[in-house]
Amino acid sequence: MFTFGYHVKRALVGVRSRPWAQVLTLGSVALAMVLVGSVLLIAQNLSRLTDDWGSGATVAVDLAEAVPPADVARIRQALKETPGVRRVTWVSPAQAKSRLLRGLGPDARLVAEVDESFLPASFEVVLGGDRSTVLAAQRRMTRMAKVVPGVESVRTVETWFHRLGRLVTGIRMAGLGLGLLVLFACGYIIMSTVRLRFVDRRQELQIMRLMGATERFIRTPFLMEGALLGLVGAALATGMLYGLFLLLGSRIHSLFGTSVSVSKLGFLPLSQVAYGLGVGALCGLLGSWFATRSGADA
Amino acid sequence: MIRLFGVSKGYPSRGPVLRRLDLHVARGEYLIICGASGAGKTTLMRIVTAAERPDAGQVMVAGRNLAKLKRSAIPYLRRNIGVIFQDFKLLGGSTVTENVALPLRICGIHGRTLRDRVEEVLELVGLEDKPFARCEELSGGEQQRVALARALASEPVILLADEPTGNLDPEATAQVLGLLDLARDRGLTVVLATHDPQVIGAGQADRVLEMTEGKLETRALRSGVWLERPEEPDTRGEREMSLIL
Ligand SMILES: Nc1ncnc2c1ncn2[C@@H]1O[C@H](COP(=O)(O)OP(=O)(O)O)[C@@H](O)[C@H]1O
Ligand SMILES: [Mg+2]
Repeated sequence: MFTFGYHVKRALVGVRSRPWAQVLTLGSVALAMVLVGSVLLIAQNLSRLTDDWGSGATVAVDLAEAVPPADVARIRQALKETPGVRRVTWVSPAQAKSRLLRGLGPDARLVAEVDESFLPASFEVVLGGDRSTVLAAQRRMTRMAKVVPGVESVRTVETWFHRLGRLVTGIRMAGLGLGLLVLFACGYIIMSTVRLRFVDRRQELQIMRLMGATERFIRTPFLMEGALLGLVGAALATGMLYGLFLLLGSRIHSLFGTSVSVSKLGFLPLSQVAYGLGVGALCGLLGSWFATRSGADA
Repeated sequence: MIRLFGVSKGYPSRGPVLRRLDLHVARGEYLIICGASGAGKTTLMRIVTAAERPDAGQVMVAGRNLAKLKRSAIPYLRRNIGVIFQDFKLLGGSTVTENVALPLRICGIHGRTLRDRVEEVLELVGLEDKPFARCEELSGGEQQRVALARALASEPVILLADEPTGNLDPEATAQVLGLLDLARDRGLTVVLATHDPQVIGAGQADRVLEMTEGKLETRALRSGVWLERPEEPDTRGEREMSLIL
Protein backbone atom coordinates (compact mmCIF):
# COMPACT_ATOMS: atom_id res chain seq x y z
CA MET A 1 0.00 0.00 0.00
CA PHE A 2 1.12 3.50 -0.75
CA THR A 3 -0.28 4.84 2.48
CA PHE A 4 1.91 2.34 4.35
CA GLY A 5 4.78 4.78 4.61
CA TYR A 6 2.43 7.42 5.88
CA HIS A 7 1.09 5.09 8.58
CA VAL A 8 4.63 4.17 9.60
CA LYS A 9 5.43 7.87 9.93
CA ARG A 10 2.36 8.44 12.06
CA ALA A 11 3.22 5.43 14.22
CA LEU A 12 6.76 6.71 14.75
CA VAL A 13 5.47 10.13 15.73
CA GLY A 14 3.31 8.26 18.23
CA VAL A 15 6.28 6.38 19.62
CA ARG A 16 8.18 9.62 20.05
CA SER A 17 5.54 11.35 22.11
CA ARG A 18 5.53 10.39 25.82
CA PRO A 19 8.99 8.80 25.62
CA TRP A 20 8.96 7.74 29.27
CA ALA A 21 5.80 5.75 28.83
CA GLN A 22 7.54 3.98 25.97
CA VAL A 23 10.65 3.26 28.01
CA LEU A 24 8.58 1.95 30.90
CA THR A 25 6.49 -0.20 28.61
CA LEU A 26 9.46 -1.61 26.77
CA GLY A 27 11.27 -2.19 30.05
CA SER A 28 8.44 -4.09 31.65
CA VAL A 29 7.70 -6.08 28.51
CA ALA A 30 11.39 -6.95 28.14
CA LEU A 31 11.78 -7.92 31.80
CA ALA A 32 8.69 -10.09 31.75
CA MET A 33 9.95 -11.81 28.62
CA VAL A 34 13.45 -12.25 30.09
CA LEU A 35 11.80 -14.09 32.95
CA VAL A 36 10.18 -16.56 30.59
CA GLY A 37 13.24 -16.77 28.40
CA SER A 38 15.52 -17.57 31.32
CA VAL A 39 13.29 -20.40 32.48
CA LEU A 40 13.34 -21.87 28.98
CA LEU A 41 17.09 -21.29 28.77
CA ILE A 42 17.66 -23.12 32.06
CA ALA A 43 15.55 -26.07 30.93
CA GLN A 44 17.41 -26.11 27.65
CA ASN A 45 20.87 -26.12 29.20
CA LEU A 46 19.96 -28.54 31.93
CA SER A 47 18.88 -30.89 29.21
CA ARG A 48 22.05 -30.29 27.19
CA LEU A 49 24.38 -30.63 30.16
CA THR A 50 22.85 -33.88 31.30
CA ASP A 51 22.66 -35.32 27.82
CA ASP A 52 25.86 -37.31 28.26
CA TRP A 53 25.43 -38.04 31.94
CA GLY A 54 24.05 -41.33 30.80
CA SER A 55 27.47 -42.57 29.66
CA GLY A 56 29.10 -44.66 32.33
CA ALA A 57 25.76 -45.53 33.87
CA THR A 58 25.68 -49.19 34.79
CA VAL A 59 22.98 -51.80 34.90
CA ALA A 60 23.29 -55.04 36.81
CA VAL A 61 21.57 -58.00 35.21
CA ASP A 62 21.26 -60.72 37.88
CA LEU A 63 21.06 -64.27 36.63
CA ALA A 64 18.97 -67.02 38.09
CA GLU A 65 20.62 -70.03 39.81
CA ALA A 66 22.17 -72.68 37.68
CA VAL A 67 21.67 -71.14 34.28
CA PRO A 68 22.99 -73.39 31.51
CA PRO A 69 26.12 -71.95 29.85
CA ALA A 70 24.30 -71.74 26.51
CA ASP A 71 21.68 -69.42 28.00
CA VAL A 72 24.37 -67.31 29.67
CA ALA A 73 26.07 -66.89 26.29
CA ARG A 74 22.75 -65.95 24.68
CA ILE A 75 22.03 -63.37 27.37
CA ARG A 76 25.48 -61.85 26.98
CA GLN A 77 24.94 -61.64 23.22
CA ALA A 78 21.52 -59.99 23.64
CA LEU A 79 22.93 -57.43 26.05
CA LYS A 80 25.83 -56.63 23.75
CA GLU A 81 23.51 -56.03 20.84
CA THR A 82 21.33 -53.53 22.70
CA PRO A 83 21.95 -50.00 21.37
CA GLY A 84 23.74 -47.81 23.89
CA VAL A 85 25.63 -50.66 25.54
CA ARG A 86 29.39 -50.06 25.76
CA ARG A 87 30.64 -52.99 27.77
CA VAL A 88 29.27 -56.21 29.26
CA THR A 89 31.27 -57.79 32.10
CA TRP A 90 30.68 -61.12 33.74
CA VAL A 91 30.63 -60.89 37.55
CA SER A 92 30.99 -64.32 39.18
CA PRO A 93 29.52 -65.01 42.64
CA ALA A 94 33.05 -64.93 44.08
CA GLN A 95 33.72 -61.51 42.57
CA ALA A 96 30.35 -60.34 43.81
CA LYS A 97 31.24 -61.43 47.34
CA SER A 98 34.60 -59.68 47.36
CA ARG A 99 32.95 -56.50 46.04
CA LEU A 100 30.36 -56.72 48.75
CA LEU A 101 33.02 -57.21 51.41
CA ARG A 102 34.95 -54.21 50.13
CA GLY A 103 31.82 -52.14 50.08
CA LEU A 104 30.90 -52.98 53.65
CA GLY A 105 34.33 -52.20 55.11
CA PRO A 106 34.41 -52.66 58.93
CA ASP A 107 31.04 -54.44 58.88
CA ALA A 108 32.42 -57.07 56.52
CA ARG A 109 32.61 -59.62 59.35
CA LEU A 110 28.83 -60.01 59.19
CA VAL A 111 28.87 -61.52 55.73
CA ALA A 112 32.37 -63.00 55.72
CA GLU A 113 30.99 -66.41 56.46
CA VAL A 114 28.27 -66.29 53.82
CA ASP A 115 28.64 -68.91 51.14
CA GLU A 116 29.40 -67.56 47.67
CA SER A 117 26.63 -69.57 46.11
CA PHE A 118 24.07 -67.39 47.88
CA LEU A 119 25.09 -64.49 45.72
CA PRO A 120 23.85 -64.53 42.12
CA ALA A 121 26.08 -64.39 39.15
CA SER A 122 25.42 -61.29 37.09
CA PHE A 123 26.38 -59.19 34.10
CA GLU A 124 27.52 -55.65 34.70
CA VAL A 125 26.50 -53.57 31.72
CA VAL A 126 28.09 -50.16 31.13
CA LEU A 127 25.96 -47.81 29.03
CA GLY A 128 26.89 -44.84 26.90
CA GLY A 129 25.44 -42.30 24.52
CA ASP A 130 22.94 -39.54 25.12
CA ARG A 131 20.22 -39.66 27.69
CA SER A 132 17.45 -40.92 25.49
CA THR A 133 19.57 -43.82 24.21
CA VAL A 134 20.58 -44.78 27.73
CA LEU A 135 16.99 -44.54 28.90
CA ALA A 136 15.84 -46.72 26.05
CA ALA A 137 18.53 -49.31 26.78
CA GLN A 138 17.55 -49.37 30.42
CA ARG A 139 13.92 -49.85 29.53
CA ARG A 140 14.75 -52.76 27.28
CA MET A 141 16.88 -54.47 29.91
CA THR A 142 14.28 -54.01 32.60
CA ARG A 143 11.81 -55.80 30.41
CA MET A 144 14.19 -58.78 30.20
CA ALA A 145 13.68 -59.67 33.87
CA LYS A 146 11.62 -62.84 34.32
CA VAL A 147 10.90 -62.90 30.60
CA VAL A 148 14.23 -63.95 29.15
CA PRO A 149 15.09 -67.41 30.51
CA GLY A 150 17.87 -67.14 33.05
CA VAL A 151 17.46 -63.43 33.92
CA GLU A 152 16.29 -63.10 37.48
CA SER A 153 16.23 -59.32 37.98
CA VAL A 154 17.61 -56.10 36.54
CA ARG A 155 18.88 -53.29 38.75
CA THR A 156 19.19 -49.85 37.19
CA VAL A 157 19.57 -46.26 38.25
CA GLU A 158 16.42 -45.59 36.29
CA THR A 159 14.73 -43.45 38.96
CA TRP A 160 17.48 -40.88 38.92
CA PHE A 161 17.33 -40.61 35.18
CA HIS A 162 13.61 -40.32 35.03
CA ARG A 163 13.55 -37.70 37.71
CA LEU A 164 15.97 -35.55 35.73
CA GLY A 165 13.93 -35.98 32.60
CA ARG A 166 10.78 -35.02 34.47
CA LEU A 167 12.54 -32.03 35.96
CA VAL A 168 13.49 -30.71 32.52
CA THR A 169 9.97 -31.29 31.21
CA GLY A 170 8.54 -29.66 34.32
CA ILE A 171 10.73 -26.58 33.93
CA ARG A 172 9.75 -26.33 30.27
CA MET A 173 6.06 -26.57 31.17
CA ALA A 174 6.43 -23.98 33.90
CA GLY A 175 8.20 -21.75 31.39
CA LEU A 176 5.37 -22.09 28.91
CA GLY A 177 2.72 -21.51 31.57
CA LEU A 178 4.61 -18.49 32.79
CA GLY A 179 4.93 -17.44 29.17
CA LEU A 180 1.18 -17.47 28.74
CA LEU A 181 0.75 -15.37 31.85
CA VAL A 182 3.46 -12.97 30.76
CA LEU A 183 1.88 -12.74 27.33
CA PHE A 184 -1.32 -11.52 28.89
CA ALA A 185 0.59 -9.09 31.09
CA CYS A 186 2.58 -7.72 28.14
CA GLY A 187 -0.54 -7.43 26.03
CA TYR A 188 -2.17 -5.53 28.84
CA ILE A 189 0.79 -3.19 29.35
CA ILE A 190 0.95 -2.42 25.64
CA MET A 191 -2.79 -1.96 25.53
CA SER A 192 -2.61 0.64 28.28
CA THR A 193 0.22 2.52 26.59
CA VAL A 194 -1.41 2.58 23.18
CA ARG A 195 -4.73 3.47 24.72
CA LEU A 196 -3.12 6.42 26.48
CA ARG A 197 -2.01 7.85 23.18
CA PHE A 198 -5.24 6.94 21.45
CA VAL A 199 -7.01 9.09 24.00
CA ASP A 200 -4.30 11.78 23.77
CA ARG A 201 -4.99 12.14 20.08
CA ARG A 202 -8.75 11.88 20.32
CA GLN A 203 -9.30 15.31 18.76
CA GLU A 204 -7.01 14.66 15.84
CA LEU A 205 -8.73 11.32 15.22
CA GLN A 206 -12.13 12.97 15.42
CA ILE A 207 -11.04 15.42 12.72
CA MET A 208 -9.88 12.52 10.57
CA ARG A 209 -13.22 10.79 11.03
CA LEU A 210 -15.01 13.97 9.92
CA MET A 211 -12.95 13.90 6.76
CA GLY A 212 -14.01 10.36 5.99
CA ALA A 213 -11.19 8.31 7.46
CA THR A 214 -12.15 4.68 7.98
CA GLU A 215 -11.54 3.06 11.35
CA ARG A 216 -8.88 0.96 9.69
CA PHE A 217 -7.05 4.04 8.52
CA ILE A 218 -7.27 5.51 12.00
CA ARG A 219 -6.21 2.36 13.81
CA THR A 220 -3.41 1.18 11.56
CA PRO A 221 -0.63 3.33 13.04
CA PHE A 222 -1.68 2.37 16.56
CA LEU A 223 -1.66 -1.30 15.66
CA MET A 224 1.78 -0.82 14.14
CA GLU A 225 2.94 0.92 17.27
CA GLY A 226 1.65 -1.90 19.45
CA ALA A 227 3.28 -4.57 17.31
CA LEU A 228 6.50 -2.56 17.27
CA LEU A 229 6.46 -2.25 21.07
CA GLY A 230 5.98 -6.00 21.40
CA LEU A 231 8.68 -6.75 18.86
CA VAL A 232 11.23 -4.35 20.32
CA GLY A 233 10.37 -5.57 23.82
CA ALA A 234 11.03 -9.15 22.76
CA ALA A 235 14.23 -8.12 20.98
CA LEU A 236 15.42 -6.31 24.09
CA ALA A 237 14.57 -9.36 26.14
CA THR A 238 16.59 -11.54 23.77
CA GLY A 239 19.53 -9.17 24.06
CA MET A 240 19.33 -9.06 27.84
CA LEU A 241 18.99 -12.82 28.04
CA TYR A 242 22.00 -13.28 25.81
CA GLY A 243 24.02 -10.91 27.96
CA LEU A 244 22.96 -12.82 31.05
CA PHE A 245 23.86 -16.09 29.34
CA LEU A 246 27.35 -14.89 28.44
CA LEU A 247 27.89 -13.53 31.94
CA LEU A 248 26.82 -16.72 33.68
CA GLY A 249 28.55 -18.89 31.09
CA SER A 250 31.89 -17.26 31.84
CA ARG A 251 31.40 -17.84 35.57
CA ILE A 252 29.97 -21.31 35.33
CA HIS A 253 33.11 -22.92 36.75
CA SER A 254 33.16 -20.77 39.84
CA LEU A 255 29.49 -21.48 40.34
CA PHE A 256 29.25 -25.21 39.69
CA GLY A 257 32.84 -26.41 39.52
CA THR A 258 34.61 -28.00 36.60
CA SER A 259 32.09 -30.80 36.26
CA VAL A 260 30.15 -28.50 33.94
CA SER A 261 31.71 -28.05 30.55
CA VAL A 262 31.15 -24.61 29.06
CA SER A 263 31.24 -25.95 25.55
CA LYS A 264 28.05 -27.84 26.31
CA LEU A 265 26.13 -24.64 27.13
CA GLY A 266 24.08 -23.10 24.38
CA PHE A 267 21.71 -20.21 23.83
CA LEU A 268 18.11 -20.75 22.75
CA PRO A 269 17.94 -21.99 19.17
CA LEU A 270 17.27 -19.38 16.50
CA SER A 271 13.85 -20.85 15.77
CA GLN A 272 12.80 -20.26 19.39
CA VAL A 273 14.15 -16.71 19.33
CA ALA A 274 12.23 -16.00 16.11
CA TYR A 275 9.16 -17.54 17.67
CA GLY A 276 9.58 -15.30 20.71
CA LEU A 277 9.88 -12.19 18.57
CA GLY A 278 6.79 -13.17 16.60
CA VAL A 279 4.84 -13.85 19.75
CA GLY A 280 5.95 -10.48 21.16
CA ALA A 281 4.78 -8.63 18.06
CA LEU A 282 1.50 -10.54 18.01
CA CYS A 283 0.90 -9.80 21.65
CA GLY A 284 1.51 -6.08 21.02
CA LEU A 285 -0.79 -6.20 18.04
CA LEU A 286 -3.57 -7.76 20.09
CA GLY A 287 -3.05 -5.30 22.93
CA SER A 288 -3.32 -2.32 20.60
CA TRP A 289 -6.23 -3.92 18.80
CA PHE A 290 -8.14 -3.98 22.07
CA ALA A 291 -6.96 -0.46 22.91
CA THR A 292 -8.43 0.92 19.68
CA ARG A 293 -11.63 -1.04 19.36
CA SER A 294 -14.41 1.06 17.84
CA GLY A 295 -16.01 3.17 20.51
CA ALA A 296 -12.91 2.90 22.65
CA ASP A 297 -12.38 6.65 22.37
CA ALA A 298 -15.92 7.65 23.29
CA MET B 1 -28.24 17.38 -2.76
CA ILE B 2 -29.43 17.54 0.84
CA ARG B 3 -32.98 16.69 1.87
CA LEU B 4 -34.42 16.48 5.35
CA PHE B 5 -37.98 15.31 5.94
CA GLY B 6 -39.64 15.89 9.30
CA VAL B 7 -36.34 15.62 11.16
CA SER B 8 -36.53 15.85 14.95
CA LYS B 9 -33.61 15.77 17.33
CA GLY B 10 -33.32 16.44 21.03
CA TYR B 11 -30.91 15.88 23.87
CA PRO B 12 -31.96 14.48 27.22
CA SER B 13 -30.43 17.47 28.99
CA ARG B 14 -31.87 20.09 26.63
CA GLY B 15 -35.14 18.74 25.25
CA PRO B 16 -36.04 19.07 21.55
CA VAL B 17 -33.62 21.04 19.38
CA LEU B 18 -34.99 20.31 15.90
CA ARG B 19 -38.74 19.84 15.54
CA ARG B 20 -40.06 18.10 12.43
CA LEU B 21 -37.73 20.15 10.27
CA ASP B 22 -37.86 20.03 6.47
CA LEU B 23 -35.05 21.22 4.24
CA HIS B 24 -34.09 20.86 0.63
CA VAL B 25 -30.78 22.18 -0.60
CA ALA B 26 -30.46 21.90 -4.36
CA ARG B 27 -27.28 20.95 -6.18
CA GLY B 28 -25.06 24.00 -6.55
CA GLU B 29 -27.10 26.11 -4.19
CA TYR B 30 -25.52 28.46 -1.64
CA LEU B 31 -27.62 28.44 1.49
CA ILE B 32 -27.20 30.44 4.66
CA ILE B 33 -28.77 29.17 7.86
CA CYS B 34 -28.90 31.86 10.48
CA GLY B 35 -30.20 31.76 14.00
CA ALA B 36 -29.27 32.63 17.54
CA SER B 37 -26.59 30.70 19.32
CA GLY B 38 -28.06 27.44 20.57
CA ALA B 39 -30.79 27.39 17.92
CA GLY B 40 -29.58 24.05 16.56
CA LYS B 41 -27.51 24.97 13.50
CA THR B 42 -24.58 22.80 14.48
CA THR B 43 -26.91 19.95 15.33
CA LEU B 44 -28.36 20.16 11.82
CA MET B 45 -24.87 20.07 10.28
CA ARG B 46 -23.92 17.08 12.41
CA ILE B 47 -27.00 15.23 11.22
CA VAL B 48 -26.03 15.91 7.60
CA THR B 49 -22.54 14.47 8.18
CA ALA B 50 -24.01 11.44 9.99
CA ALA B 51 -22.19 12.42 13.16
CA GLU B 52 -25.57 12.46 14.84
CA ARG B 53 -28.67 10.37 14.15
CA PRO B 54 -32.05 12.10 14.10
CA ASP B 55 -34.68 10.90 16.58
CA ALA B 56 -37.28 10.97 13.82
CA GLY B 57 -37.52 11.86 10.14
CA GLN B 58 -35.37 11.01 7.14
CA VAL B 59 -32.19 12.46 5.71
CA MET B 60 -30.88 12.15 2.18
CA VAL B 61 -27.39 13.38 1.39
CA ALA B 62 -25.77 13.08 -2.04
CA GLY B 63 -28.22 10.37 -3.00
CA ARG B 64 -27.88 8.31 0.16
CA ASN B 65 -30.50 7.65 2.80
CA LEU B 66 -28.55 8.10 6.01
CA ALA B 67 -30.88 5.87 8.02
CA LYS B 68 -29.95 2.99 5.72
CA LEU B 69 -26.24 3.76 5.77
CA LYS B 70 -24.05 1.18 7.48
CA ARG B 71 -21.55 2.44 10.02
CA SER B 72 -18.74 1.33 7.78
CA ALA B 73 -20.17 3.37 4.88
CA ILE B 74 -20.24 6.66 6.77
CA PRO B 75 -16.60 7.54 5.98
CA TYR B 76 -17.35 7.27 2.27
CA LEU B 77 -20.32 9.61 2.63
CA ARG B 78 -18.11 12.11 4.44
CA ARG B 79 -15.58 12.17 1.64
CA ASN B 80 -18.25 13.97 -0.38
CA ILE B 81 -18.62 16.65 2.26
CA GLY B 82 -16.06 19.30 3.14
CA VAL B 83 -16.46 20.92 6.55
CA ILE B 84 -15.02 24.02 8.20
CA PHE B 85 -15.61 25.26 11.72
CA GLN B 86 -15.37 28.34 13.87
CA ASP B 87 -12.31 26.88 15.67
CA PHE B 88 -10.66 25.69 12.39
CA LYS B 89 -9.93 22.21 13.81
CA LEU B 90 -6.49 22.04 12.24
CA LEU B 91 -4.05 19.35 13.34
CA GLY B 92 -1.96 20.87 16.10
CA GLY B 93 1.78 20.90 15.50
CA SER B 94 1.40 20.13 11.82
CA THR B 95 2.25 22.20 8.80
CA VAL B 96 -0.16 23.72 6.31
CA THR B 97 0.71 21.04 3.76
CA GLU B 98 0.20 18.18 6.20
CA ASN B 99 -3.26 19.49 7.03
CA VAL B 100 -4.31 19.96 3.45
CA ALA B 101 -2.88 16.57 2.44
CA LEU B 102 -4.83 14.71 5.12
CA PRO B 103 -8.15 14.21 3.27
CA LEU B 104 -6.21 13.17 0.17
CA ARG B 105 -4.27 10.57 2.14
CA ILE B 106 -7.54 9.36 3.60
CA CYS B 107 -8.76 8.82 0.04
CA GLY B 108 -5.57 6.90 -0.73
CA ILE B 109 -4.02 9.60 -2.94
CA HIS B 110 -0.25 9.79 -2.79
CA GLY B 111 2.92 10.94 -4.45
CA ARG B 112 2.94 13.49 -7.26
CA THR B 113 -0.85 13.64 -7.52
CA LEU B 114 -1.08 14.51 -3.84
CA ARG B 115 1.59 17.21 -4.03
CA ASP B 116 0.04 18.77 -7.12
CA ARG B 117 -3.43 18.84 -5.62
CA VAL B 118 -2.18 20.36 -2.35
CA GLU B 119 -0.38 23.06 -4.32
CA GLU B 120 -3.48 23.70 -6.36
CA VAL B 121 -5.84 24.24 -3.42
CA LEU B 122 -3.29 26.28 -1.52
CA GLU B 123 -3.11 28.57 -4.52
CA LEU B 124 -6.90 28.73 -4.59
CA VAL B 125 -7.01 30.07 -1.03
CA GLY B 126 -3.94 32.27 -1.51
CA LEU B 127 -1.55 30.38 0.76
CA GLU B 128 0.80 29.03 -1.87
CA ASP B 129 3.70 30.91 -0.26
CA LYS B 130 3.31 29.25 3.15
CA PRO B 131 3.14 25.51 2.56
CA PHE B 132 5.49 24.60 5.39
CA ALA B 133 4.35 27.09 8.01
CA ARG B 134 3.16 25.62 11.29
CA CYS B 135 -0.55 26.24 11.67
CA GLU B 136 -0.14 27.80 15.12
CA GLU B 137 2.04 30.51 13.62
CA LEU B 138 -0.66 31.66 11.20
CA SER B 139 -3.27 34.34 11.76
CA GLY B 140 -6.90 33.32 12.32
CA GLY B 141 -7.84 34.25 8.77
CA GLU B 142 -4.96 32.21 7.36
CA GLN B 143 -5.84 29.25 9.54
CA GLN B 144 -9.41 29.32 8.30
CA ARG B 145 -8.15 29.42 4.74
CA VAL B 146 -6.00 26.37 5.45
CA ALA B 147 -9.11 24.66 6.80
CA LEU B 148 -10.99 25.66 3.66
CA ALA B 149 -8.21 24.35 1.43
CA ARG B 150 -8.32 21.11 3.37
CA ALA B 151 -12.11 20.91 3.03
CA LEU B 152 -11.87 21.41 -0.73
CA ALA B 153 -8.80 19.25 -1.36
CA SER B 154 -10.57 16.00 -2.13
CA GLU B 155 -13.15 17.65 -4.43
CA PRO B 156 -16.27 17.25 -2.29
CA VAL B 157 -19.69 18.10 -3.70
CA ILE B 158 -20.97 19.70 -0.50
CA LEU B 159 -19.27 22.30 1.68
CA LEU B 160 -20.59 22.84 5.20
CA ALA B 161 -19.32 25.93 6.99
CA ASP B 162 -20.32 26.16 10.66
CA GLU B 163 -19.76 29.74 11.89
CA PRO B 164 -16.54 29.94 9.85
CA THR B 165 -16.08 33.64 10.56
CA GLY B 166 -16.89 33.57 14.26
CA ASN B 167 -13.27 34.11 15.27
CA LEU B 168 -12.21 36.34 12.41
CA ASP B 169 -11.77 40.08 11.91
CA PRO B 170 -13.79 41.81 9.16
CA GLU B 171 -11.03 41.59 6.58
CA ALA B 172 -10.47 37.86 7.09
CA THR B 173 -14.24 37.36 7.18
CA ALA B 174 -14.56 38.98 3.76
CA GLN B 175 -11.79 36.76 2.41
CA VAL B 176 -13.42 33.57 3.68
CA LEU B 177 -16.86 34.61 2.38
CA GLY B 178 -15.28 35.37 -0.97
CA LEU B 179 -13.84 31.87 -1.05
CA LEU B 180 -17.26 30.36 -0.24
CA ASP B 181 -18.67 32.29 -3.21
CA LEU B 182 -15.85 30.87 -5.31
CA ALA B 183 -16.67 27.36 -4.13
CA ARG B 184 -20.27 27.83 -5.16
CA ASP B 185 -19.15 29.18 -8.52
CA ARG B 186 -17.18 25.98 -8.97
CA GLY B 187 -20.38 23.98 -8.55
CA LEU B 188 -20.29 23.02 -4.89
CA THR B 189 -23.40 23.01 -2.76
CA VAL B 190 -22.58 25.37 0.10
CA VAL B 191 -24.34 25.56 3.46
CA LEU B 192 -23.17 28.31 5.79
CA ALA B 193 -24.40 28.51 9.38
CA THR B 194 -23.98 31.80 11.18
CA HIS B 195 -25.52 34.05 13.77
CA ASP B 196 -23.71 37.14 12.45
CA PRO B 197 -26.04 39.52 10.53
CA GLN B 198 -23.04 41.04 8.72
CA VAL B 199 -22.14 37.70 7.22
CA ILE B 200 -25.69 37.25 6.02
CA GLY B 201 -25.57 40.64 4.35
CA ALA B 202 -22.14 40.23 2.79
CA GLY B 203 -22.46 36.77 1.26
CA GLN B 204 -23.82 35.94 -2.17
CA ALA B 205 -26.16 33.25 -0.95
CA ASP B 206 -29.11 32.07 -2.98
CA ARG B 207 -31.29 31.71 0.06
CA VAL B 208 -31.22 32.61 3.73
CA LEU B 209 -33.13 30.47 6.22
CA GLU B 210 -33.58 31.27 9.87
CA MET B 211 -33.71 28.61 12.49
CA THR B 212 -36.23 29.32 15.21
CA GLU B 213 -37.83 26.89 17.59
CA GLY B 214 -36.34 23.94 15.81
CA LYS B 215 -37.69 24.81 12.37
CA LEU B 216 -36.40 26.70 9.34
CA GLU B 217 -38.08 29.75 7.85
CA THR B 218 -37.03 31.48 4.67
CA ARG B 219 -35.77 35.01 5.27
CA ALA B 220 -34.39 35.97 1.90
CA LEU B 221 -34.08 34.59 -1.58
CA ARG B 222 -30.91 36.56 -2.13
CA SER B 223 -28.66 37.87 0.57
CA GLY B 224 -29.89 41.29 1.58
CA VAL B 225 -33.42 40.82 0.22
CA TRP B 226 -35.39 40.17 3.36
CA LEU B 227 -38.85 38.72 3.34
CA GLU B 228 -41.34 40.14 5.76
CA ARG B 229 -43.24 36.89 5.93
CA PRO B 230 -42.24 33.32 5.32
CA GLU B 231 -42.23 32.55 1.63
CA GLU B 232 -45.15 31.03 -0.19
CA PRO B 233 -44.52 27.33 -0.80
CA ASP B 234 -44.81 27.66 -4.61
CA THR B 235 -42.25 30.48 -4.73
CA ARG B 236 -39.74 28.20 -3.08
CA GLY B 237 -40.51 25.43 -5.50
CA GLU B 238 -39.89 27.73 -8.44
CA ARG B 239 -36.62 28.83 -6.96
CA GLU B 240 -35.48 25.24 -6.61
CA MET B 241 -36.53 24.43 -10.14
CA SER B 242 -34.53 27.29 -11.54
CA LEU B 243 -31.50 26.10 -9.60
CA ILE B 244 -31.81 22.56 -10.83
CA LEU B 245 -32.22 23.68 -14.45
N1 LIG C 1 -24.19 16.58 22.53
C1 LIG C 1 -25.10 17.40 23.10
N2 LIG C 1 -25.65 17.05 24.29
C2 LIG C 1 -26.56 17.83 24.87
N3 LIG C 1 -26.97 18.99 24.37
C3 LIG C 1 -26.47 19.40 23.20
C4 LIG C 1 -25.50 18.63 22.50
N4 LIG C 1 -25.17 19.27 21.36
C5 LIG C 1 -25.92 20.42 21.36
N5 LIG C 1 -26.68 20.49 22.46
C6 LIG C 1 -27.62 21.53 22.75
O1 LIG C 1 -28.47 21.68 21.66
C7 LIG C 1 -28.74 23.05 21.44
C8 LIG C 1 -28.40 23.41 20.03
O2 LIG C 1 -27.00 23.36 19.91
P1 LIG C 1 -26.27 23.74 18.56
O3 LIG C 1 -26.82 22.89 17.49
O4 LIG C 1 -24.83 23.66 18.81
O5 LIG C 1 -26.71 25.23 18.34
P2 LIG C 1 -26.04 26.33 17.41
O6 LIG C 1 -25.02 25.69 16.58
O7 LIG C 1 -27.18 26.87 16.62
O8 LIG C 1 -25.47 27.37 18.31
C9 LIG C 1 -27.94 23.84 22.47
O9 LIG C 1 -28.80 24.20 23.52
C10 LIG C 1 -26.93 22.85 22.96
O10 LIG C 1 -26.68 23.09 24.32
MG1 LIG D 1 -22.99 26.06 16.49
